[in-house]
Amino acid sequence: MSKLNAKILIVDDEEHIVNFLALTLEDSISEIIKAYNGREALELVAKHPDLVCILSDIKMPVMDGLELIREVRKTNKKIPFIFFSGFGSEKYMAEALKYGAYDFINKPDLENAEEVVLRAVNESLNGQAATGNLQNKLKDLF
Amino acid sequence: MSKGRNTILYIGNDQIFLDDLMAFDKVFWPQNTSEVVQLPITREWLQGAHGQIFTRMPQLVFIDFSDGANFKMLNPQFYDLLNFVKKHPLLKRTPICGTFISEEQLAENRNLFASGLSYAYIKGDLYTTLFEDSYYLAFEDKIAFPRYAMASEINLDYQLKMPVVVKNMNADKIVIESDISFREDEEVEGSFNFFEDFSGKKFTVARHTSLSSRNFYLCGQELFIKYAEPWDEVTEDSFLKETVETWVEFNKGRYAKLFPAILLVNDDNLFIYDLTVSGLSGKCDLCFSYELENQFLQVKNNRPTIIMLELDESEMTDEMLATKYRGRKDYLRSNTDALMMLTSFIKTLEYYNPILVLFNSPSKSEAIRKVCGYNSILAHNEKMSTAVIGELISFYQANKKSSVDDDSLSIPLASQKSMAAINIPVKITGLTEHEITFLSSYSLPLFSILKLDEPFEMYLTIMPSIRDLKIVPGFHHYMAFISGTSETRLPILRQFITQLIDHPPKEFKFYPNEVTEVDKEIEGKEIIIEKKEKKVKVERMAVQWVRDEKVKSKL
Repeated sequence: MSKLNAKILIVDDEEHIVNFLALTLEDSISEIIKAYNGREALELVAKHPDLVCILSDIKMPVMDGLELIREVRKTNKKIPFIFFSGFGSEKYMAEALKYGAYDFINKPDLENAEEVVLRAVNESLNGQAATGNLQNKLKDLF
Repeated sequence: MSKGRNTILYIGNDQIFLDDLMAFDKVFWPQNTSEVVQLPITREWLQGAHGQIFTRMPQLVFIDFSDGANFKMLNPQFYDLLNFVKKHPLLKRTPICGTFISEEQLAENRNLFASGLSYAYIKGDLYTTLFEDSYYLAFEDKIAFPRYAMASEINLDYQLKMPVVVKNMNADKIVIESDISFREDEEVEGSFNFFEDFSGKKFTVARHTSLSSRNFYLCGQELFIKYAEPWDEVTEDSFLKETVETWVEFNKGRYAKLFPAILLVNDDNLFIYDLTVSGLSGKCDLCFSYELENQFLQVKNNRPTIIMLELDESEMTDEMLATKYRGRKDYLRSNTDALMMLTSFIKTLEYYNPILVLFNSPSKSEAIRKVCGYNSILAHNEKMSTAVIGELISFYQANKKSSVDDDSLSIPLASQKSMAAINIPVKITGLTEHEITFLSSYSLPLFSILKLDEPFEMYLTIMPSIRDLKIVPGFHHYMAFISGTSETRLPILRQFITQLIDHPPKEFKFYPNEVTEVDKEIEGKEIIIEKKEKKVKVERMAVQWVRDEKVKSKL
């Protein structure tokens, strides 16, 4: 499968998770940037305006995932945010919805992240029309 | 309109009426704190009517139904407008008073009361009573009513009729909407207009809901039809199941049940107006709500198939919230927190899985489903629009079968068949040509409409009383204004009141010839007396004759 010509950001205070995800996605995504807390991530978002997707942990030191999305949304309403969720993060997940979450992936299921990430990246790259998207959603739901 | 001014809206083309109204208004508000605005009725008037009403938020509305040609042409639109106004929470208490050309016209269109008409006036020479009553309805004070002759302490039982509206029906039950909270398993009597042979009267209340979905009524009920058993004697009042089933089957094409049932939560007046005039509300069972209620009664009682919300995650200060919700504590903003509460609530209801369609959603469907733990969620990032809602409804109808009650008929509000009445037993305590007082064991909300048929058809609007009413334990004592009577019929009403005062009857019934009967009785008594007197006279004459004969014989 050919790589998508896209740049994504992975943020987590646990280095092994960042590396695991980068490894999982490196065959599908052309450029992967890493950060280890929210503040670092925010700086990288400013530096790379061509980012098409952000994968972020919720609970992190220095600046957590909620604060990160809040700050990013001040200037970018559309970039998909995929959060890693674990036990005890339900409250944060609900809060994240208010700012525009694309999806949540359970930390134990990270090996399945590729499908979700590729979907988000494709949508971001193609900027799918709202109506067309609605038709597909209706088919899934009804 | 300057801030703080009261607005009276007149929808009609009668300049004389308008002049009289403005003159009355000037006297009522001498400080010029009100304005009377006219909206002429034309072919395109409905669009203007919605816009005017929402822009001006009038305290009182007059609609002139008496222009027969215009009324016939725009008939369904009048029902739509009334319904629309009465469903709006901020306009719910705005009285709408209608003028009619005749009692016959009113009788033909009495379902306007079911749509939201508060008071009806048959046009005559003067409008004083109409203006006084309607201003009292709207502003409740400052009216010095004339003192009418009153038949008081009547204390006679009577069955008033409460107009109700039929939402749908099948061969087993009828779903109605009304203002009365009937008890489950209560037996009620009513009359319906489905077809001529549907003449039975007795029904059992099967299920009561505290909210009405379609109209401005407070309650909905399911009435089970009491059919004659095989061993029962068939009378005029019996229901025969086969007859009803045949009629329902025959009319399925004409009154197909509207589905899906949709609860649409939106506080944008102009959007709701656009949606109403788009005709979508005729394609499905669409119910609007300004806000979500924090007890979710709208959901619990009506169980809509689809719930549409427009999310609003904007920051709002306490002051902004207080302004928006006017101090009410029973409503929820449509935001993620409310969505979480709603999905938690839905999960407590058995056999109920509505589809939640979220508009203006910052998050995607998958994310929301996972957080809420509820799969039937569709999130759309754009605001509500008529086009998208129309597409959703069409898609749903094309891909989903109608649910449980698909053998039910949905009766359009403008149809005579949607008109019905439930009997309300009362004890009438007083009557004038202007108002009536009565006791009832039911709790009836202010501005409820009831029908009185004695001495002829009249409509009663329950009002804050202008009289002192006796407190009777176990009963509610009400006063209602009488409306819907023409000037030509008033003498009959006055005669009835006189009868009640002078010759208190044993039942609340008008005897048009009663005066003549009494005369006849008196005459009869006089004849008897006369006969007795004559008999005495004859006897006296006979005695005298005998005496005279005796005298003669002695001579």
